[in-house]
Amino acid sequence: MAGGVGVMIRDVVKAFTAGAGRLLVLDGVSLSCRPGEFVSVLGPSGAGKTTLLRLIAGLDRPQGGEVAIVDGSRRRLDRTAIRLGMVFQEPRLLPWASLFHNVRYGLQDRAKSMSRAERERAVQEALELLGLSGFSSYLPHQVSGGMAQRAALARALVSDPDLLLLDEPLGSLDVKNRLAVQDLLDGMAGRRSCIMVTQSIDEAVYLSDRIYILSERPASVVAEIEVSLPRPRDRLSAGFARCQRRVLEALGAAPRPRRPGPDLKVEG
Amino acid sequence: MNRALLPKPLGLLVPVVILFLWQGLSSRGALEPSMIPSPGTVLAAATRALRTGELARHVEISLIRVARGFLAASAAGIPAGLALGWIPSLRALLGPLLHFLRQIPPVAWIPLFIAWFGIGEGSKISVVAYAAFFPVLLNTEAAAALVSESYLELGEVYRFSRREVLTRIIVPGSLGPMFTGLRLALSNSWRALVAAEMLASASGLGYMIVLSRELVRPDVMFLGIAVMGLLGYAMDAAAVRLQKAVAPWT
Ligand SMILES: Nc1ncnc2c1ncn2[C@@H]1O[C@H](COP(=O)(O)OP(=O)(O)OP(=O)(O)O)[C@@H](O)[C@H]1O
Ligand SMILES: [Mg+2]
Repeated sequence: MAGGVGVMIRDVVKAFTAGAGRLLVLDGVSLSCRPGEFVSVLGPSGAGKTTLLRLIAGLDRPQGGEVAIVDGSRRRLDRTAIRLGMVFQEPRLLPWASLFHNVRYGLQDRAKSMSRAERERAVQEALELLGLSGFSSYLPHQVSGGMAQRAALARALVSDPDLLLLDEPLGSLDVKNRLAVQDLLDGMAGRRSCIMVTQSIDEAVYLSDRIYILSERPASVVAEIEVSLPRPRDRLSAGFARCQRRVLEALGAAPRPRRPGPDLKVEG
Repeated sequence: MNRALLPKPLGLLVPVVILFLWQGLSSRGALEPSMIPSPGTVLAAATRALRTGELARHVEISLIRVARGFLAASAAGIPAGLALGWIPSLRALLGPLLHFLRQIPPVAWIPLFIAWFGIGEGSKISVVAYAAFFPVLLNTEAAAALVSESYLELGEVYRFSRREVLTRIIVPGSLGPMFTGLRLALSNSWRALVAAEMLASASGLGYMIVLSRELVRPDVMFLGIAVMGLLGYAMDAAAVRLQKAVAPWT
């Protein structure tokens, strides 16, 4: 999609009928992701983050407000006019398909303009990008949780999507892979719109142009934090720490101010 | 589903003990040979029937009948089950009729099938197919209807065509229960076939048993029963093996 794809969410209200009554989950949430922007969403468990991503993906509809996919000049686009890459909170690989096929199923209309060999190359490249090249013929139950999650990411990326929706995509990755994938995502910043739900402040600050903090359910946006540090970001810089602190504060979990006290002793 | 394909030594223990006890009781004269012939006599009957080719002939005829009926039922039941499971309105339309039909024991149709399809192969294969059809249909239908919503969502996000939803999600997602249905169908096939052969046939294992009763040959009767059990067991084991090869994730 030339000019890129953005997302505009205005005053979205979403409630579920669950159990005996009605559960209000999103209560007037507004946020936006401009074309090429990397946006993170943080908030407490059960706030409605996954629900929000599902609304954007068109898997569910809000009761109020609007969720719009827009082009570079803010004209509304049909969901079917864009290529979406999505990583669900769980890997959601098809158990009967090899990692290769699972990733290939992410190609969407990109597959149409490709020869068989080109498709295979694209899939292998995506697998390689996520460190899975040796495992393309494995079935999902034969790989670890972190590998499955990386395969889900490969599937989301293989179509070269206009918009990437990520629901805690790095949750079960080990430290090394997590840093590697963060750098992979960082490398795409500016070229691809991305909305990521995460529980990691470090990750949000490292990757995002903007961070939205949601309240407890019913969720609304309590803070919108712009991060304008140059990329790739230096985790040890003062600016990085400042951003982290602002996010912590917005989450209502700022660390206590440091008091002078005895130094921490390590015994044994 | 990690069932062993062949009986582990432990699983053979009880049958072997039973055989020994049986033989022991028989040789002491504790069992009336016209009611329960000794294993040795049954074995002798088996060698005789094998030598004359009698057993092979009946087995072959029965197997062919089971195969034809079972394959016809699967060829109809799998696509029908997928369609019913996938399309709720079709389920609403045909569900009651199918659940009515499935309650009718296949054997109850035998006289009618004979009238319709003749006393020959047609009626027997129809009974087998009838017996095999419903387990295949219902298991496939239930599985297709229950294919996880989350996989369908995946298909939505990644823009699968209807055909792709069918081939990538519904069909493979239904394979496990489909195999359960096929295995049930196989054993139902056997039951129905033997009943049909006992009622109206001049060949097959069921007929062999009826004939042995008329000829007062309990050893042959026991042989027929044992062969049915063994064949059924072998077929089921083959189905399990096939499932492991085709659908290793189930
Ligand atoms: N289909 C549904 N029916 C009823 N209630 C739902 C449904 N989906 C979500 N909810 C409710 O909406 C609330 C928000 O759920 P959601 O999955 O969006 O939270 P989340 O912010 O992603 O949480 P987590 O960080 O734990 O993943 C929860 O209380 C959940 O019970
Ligand atoms: Mg969630």
